[in-house]
Amino acid sequence: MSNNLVELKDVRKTFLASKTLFRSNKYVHALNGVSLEIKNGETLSIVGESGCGKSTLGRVINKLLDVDSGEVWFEDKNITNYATSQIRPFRNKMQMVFQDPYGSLNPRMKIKDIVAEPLLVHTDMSKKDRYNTVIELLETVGLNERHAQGYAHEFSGGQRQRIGIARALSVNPKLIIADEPVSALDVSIQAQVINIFKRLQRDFNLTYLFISHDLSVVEIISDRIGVMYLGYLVEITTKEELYKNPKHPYTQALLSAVPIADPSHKRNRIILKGDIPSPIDMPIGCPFNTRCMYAMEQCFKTMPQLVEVGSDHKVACHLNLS
Amino acid sequence: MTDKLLDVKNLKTEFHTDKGNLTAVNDVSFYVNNEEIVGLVGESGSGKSVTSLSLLRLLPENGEISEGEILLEGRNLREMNKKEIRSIRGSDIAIIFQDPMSSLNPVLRVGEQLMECTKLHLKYTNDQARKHAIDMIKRVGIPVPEDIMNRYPHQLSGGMSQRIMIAMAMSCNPKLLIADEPTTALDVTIQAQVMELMLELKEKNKIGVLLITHDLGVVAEMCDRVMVMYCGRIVEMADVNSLFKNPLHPYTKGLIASVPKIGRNSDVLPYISGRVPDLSQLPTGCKFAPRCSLAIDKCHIEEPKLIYVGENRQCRCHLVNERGENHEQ
Amino acid sequence: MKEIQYEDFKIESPFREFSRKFLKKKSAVISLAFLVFLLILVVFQPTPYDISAIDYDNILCEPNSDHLFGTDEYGRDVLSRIITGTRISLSVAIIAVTIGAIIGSILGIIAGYYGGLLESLIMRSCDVLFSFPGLLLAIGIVAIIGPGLTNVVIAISIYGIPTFTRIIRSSTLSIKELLYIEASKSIGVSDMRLLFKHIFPGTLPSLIVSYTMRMGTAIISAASLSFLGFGASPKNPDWGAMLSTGRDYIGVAPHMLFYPGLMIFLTVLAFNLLGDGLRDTLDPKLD
Repeated sequence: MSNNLVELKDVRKTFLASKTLFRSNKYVHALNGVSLEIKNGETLSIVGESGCGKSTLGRVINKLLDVDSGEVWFEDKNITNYATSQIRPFRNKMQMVFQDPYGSLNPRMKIKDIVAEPLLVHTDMSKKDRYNTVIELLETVGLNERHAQGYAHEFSGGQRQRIGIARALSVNPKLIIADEPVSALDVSIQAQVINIFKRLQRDFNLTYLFISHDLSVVEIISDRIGVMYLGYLVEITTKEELYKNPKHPYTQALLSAVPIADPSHKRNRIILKGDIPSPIDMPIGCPFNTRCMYAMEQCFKTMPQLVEVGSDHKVACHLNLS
Repeated sequence: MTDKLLDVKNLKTEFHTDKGNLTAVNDVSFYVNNEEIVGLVGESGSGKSVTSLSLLRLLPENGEISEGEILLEGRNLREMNKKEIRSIRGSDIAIIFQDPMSSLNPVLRVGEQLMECTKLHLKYTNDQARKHAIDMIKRVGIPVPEDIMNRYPHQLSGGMSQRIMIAMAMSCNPKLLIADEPTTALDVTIQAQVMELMLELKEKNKIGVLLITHDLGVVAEMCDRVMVMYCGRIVEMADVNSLFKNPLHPYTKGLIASVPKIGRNSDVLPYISGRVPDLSQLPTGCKFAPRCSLAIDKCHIEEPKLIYVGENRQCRCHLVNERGENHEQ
Repeated sequence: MKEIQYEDFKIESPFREFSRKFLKKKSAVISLAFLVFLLILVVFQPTPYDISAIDYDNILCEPNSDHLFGTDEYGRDVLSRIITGTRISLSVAIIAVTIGAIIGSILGIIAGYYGGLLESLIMRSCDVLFSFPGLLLAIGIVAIIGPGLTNVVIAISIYGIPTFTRIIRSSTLSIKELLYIEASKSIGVSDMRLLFKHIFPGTLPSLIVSYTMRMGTAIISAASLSFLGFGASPKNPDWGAMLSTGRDYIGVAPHMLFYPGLMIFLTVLAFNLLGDGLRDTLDPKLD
């Protein structure tokens, strides 16, 4: 058995954008051949701006979405073509925590029922056992028995996110896919939730896929970080390497654009020109060529391959090839 | 006195709800000078957005300004009638909101919306307004303005629509710009562009800006002075450098400490425990006391006053107040 | 790790929250009280006279202390007949609307959740039903299957189905896009549980509101059918049938027309006001 919990091989996914009668249909290119692996016990973060395909990536792994081509491997099994009934038993090994703590909890169910739902689906525990497990889980995330009787709207954003985490934990998953789990929370609450994520990883030996747009949050939690742009993985490396030695011009720009809460901090900011191109009409060649200050002739012709440039450091950029 | 562009004194805003009267903004006093960016920072529910809506009297129906004065160059906005306040909106004070997509009318072309303001307030003719609008689009850094004029809002990207919103806000040469979370809905690289643009416009047009945000990073990079709000009250006011170097109020301290910083590489983030209390269940005494690790008995009984603790620096905390008095003795 | 526990954590069940808001809507509360009063009449039938007791001494009496609502052409007590009529009118409406709501909701939830050919089939059939003017459809159905109260119920149910199908389909469509549905899917919840535990409760608010509103329409339709002679036989004191008979005596005994008409008016108004009130309390957007 390899050390990889999840492996993606050249995964592609498009969505139909508009049906046209006389011309060919338009597609949103969400994932354009993404290959990566998530090792057991690590936290891999995927960073990128809106429309880069990072959320699609998470949903492809737990099969909420089917891929167009490529392969999804989980625990050394190719689950790409599993039907819904086949995938259901797998679902308890990979759970999701969503961005919006307000929308991801059913407003008409009590917290105890929300947290117990995975247990109901995946185990044949008695009602009493389920309830005890729920209380235990709520205590793990810093809530108590009294909260179990409440409804979602009575909780603050941070508390709701903790309920979401408790639900994800209930079936002892191996992998937790966290899609922007703290971006809807206030800063002081963000820190609470991140700390809970870190503690649970130690206590339950979890593997995380952490999807975020915020490079400063990602630094605290990740072991490795992948940067995505327009459906391509443009750089993936260890946390230390990424912050110290970013190779892709987009990663560099992204790092320099993060506002820093320290007015005495002076630096040269790279301000990118223009907007992110639409994932419907993708630029030819490197997707970043419309905004890249180093773009060369070749960048407008071919998409650079993701290649190893150092130990555990892969970049997709022509600059690093020459 | 008269050099203050906007001077807000003891502003109190209440909402009449089925849970009773809720005070969303309480005893808020501050000023904004010309050519100055003042930040108003707070978490959700701190009353920062209600403050900005109160300034322009754009509160929803159940909201009411119950006390205080809002002086724009000496004129009290609170005492103006509807017609007068309407002539202030958009011309003397402009506002940009968080979500550029929903602040533009989806059924009108961008150009028409841009021309509306100058036609209304400056009585421009169609041609003048069109020329001015094209000029404004150029100034916010969008190429091919003529093309943009004919587009509908859904054909613009998020960053582009926020630029259009800024162009719209700036088109009548306002004296004061209120920006309510102007970059929150944008991607980081686009946020950097918009921040740069706002700084540039402030320099060129010599306007005062009230920047409302929850993002301390944005504050640090843009503001001259900062006010921190909590539960509808200002808990600390200072210039940006002293605030970040030496925060006085425990809430400010906690807030600054809990911001993740690139390169700090710490393992566990400090955080403020608990949650912001509901407006209908505010604690007596200091509103931050239940979450404050330094709280003394007095904090739970008596609400501290906002007092000057240095030149141009205010803080609302019993501990700091006492230290200040000792210091004077 | 220690988290602060909150003493002020109060649990308000959705029902309690609902009643707190609902009790503030005065017209809806009065309407509800009126409908509850009607329900009591239906159950206990406190009729002062036998409804078929013919009394030739008191034919077409004006309202007086003996006969509060007067008497009809056979000297029967109008008040008693109206009280009995309440039972007929309300039960026709309740049965018909309930059948329509059940069938309509099932069709709507299936169309909304599964989509595709099934949805097109269901929704196009609804469009066909919708293209007839409502009452005409009911008359047509009764004309085919014959007059009588049971057939009136069937006609009104069929005519109510498409309304419920549309409403439930549209709320199913919006609910199935919500994040908590995706969250449940990611847990591995089965389709059936998803439909009945997660999606259906979400459609309940709009179902309750349209159910109430449809009650008003159904009462009018039932009365109209009886008025036209398709429904209850004139023997039975249905409100519509009473109106129909009363029409002949409009000059001499207007009370025969007035009281059944007033009852129809008040009942329909009560259902509509109640529906408005329910919509305002159940619609989260108006918070």
